[in-house]
Amino acid sequence: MSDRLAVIAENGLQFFGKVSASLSHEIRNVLATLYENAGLLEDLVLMAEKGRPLDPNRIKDLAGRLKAQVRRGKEIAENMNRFAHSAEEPVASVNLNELLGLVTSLAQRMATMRGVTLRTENPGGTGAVRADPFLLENLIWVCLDLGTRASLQEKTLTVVLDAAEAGARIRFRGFEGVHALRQDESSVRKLGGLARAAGVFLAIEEESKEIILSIPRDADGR
Amino acid sequence: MGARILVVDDEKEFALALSERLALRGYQVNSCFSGGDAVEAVRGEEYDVVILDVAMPGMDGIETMREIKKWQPLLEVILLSGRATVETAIEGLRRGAFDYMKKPCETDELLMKINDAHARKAGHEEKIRQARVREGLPSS
Repeated sequence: MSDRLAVIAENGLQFFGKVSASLSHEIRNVLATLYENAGLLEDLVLMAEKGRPLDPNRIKDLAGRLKAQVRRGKEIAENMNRFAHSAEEPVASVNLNELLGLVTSLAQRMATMRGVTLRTENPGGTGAVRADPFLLENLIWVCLDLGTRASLQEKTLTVVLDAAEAGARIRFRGFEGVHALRQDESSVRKLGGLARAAGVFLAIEEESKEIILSIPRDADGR
Repeated sequence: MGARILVVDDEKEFALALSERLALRGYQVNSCFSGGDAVEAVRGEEYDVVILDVAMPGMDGIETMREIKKWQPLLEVILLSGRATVETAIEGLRRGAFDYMKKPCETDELLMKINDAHARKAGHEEKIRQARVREGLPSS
């Protein structure tokens, strides 16, 4: 079995399952909100039929709420679609800016449940590299998972994308300290395996208190 | 008088719409959007049934249920779960929830559970009242 397949077998399926579970939970919330607002609309119409006045502004407001949930559901479906397709090609041209946006969006619920705010910063550039999109997503997800469980300044995890000619760096900042991160041996081992398989250099910096992923322009880790 | 209901869910739009629909059906309804606020609400006012989301940031549904039952042991809790699996719901039932439902939930089914939960609470209260009468204790 290739290094990539071994890593996907060990981590990728679990990652795929966690993301799918989180998204299906989000979809249920959207459906539940749609259901109750549509039900409320129905209730108001039934009452109007029995003579209770119906305020047009109320209907307008409810229609707006329904449309907002449909937009939310559409965004979830688009993220699901992009995520599912990312596993198709072992190596592809990757826009790191977009990929980072997707993974942070997928991890939003996990962060919220842990009371953490995710912030992304991009000082410039799209960070175009050739890499394995799925392994990169998995690697960033594990960093976000580890990061949102760690002790953070102002409960905020900041993800910075620095794009350069030779490649790009993704920095995870905001840790009170990185010593505790290192002690989570299972996550650090997982990160190491994923980084190797993806052709990415991983560093946990004591001084700057950051996790840094350095992604070469051609990060074909096979 | 309709049951006194507290709807607790961090999905604000969901909680507000469900609360309004229940109020239109004659229940006395309040809503809040976190476990901590639910505990505060139960400390300040008496409820018959709490409709409680399992997965909330901060204090989750199971922990919230434990805390609110410290203040009002007889109130009944119906858990709402967005998960397809039932492990958390089973855990909730073990810890004293009246029942659970998966989101989105059919209105008629939810109303039936609310009425059953209310009836069970009223039954418990009646048993306590009768026991007090038998023992000659003052009613609380």
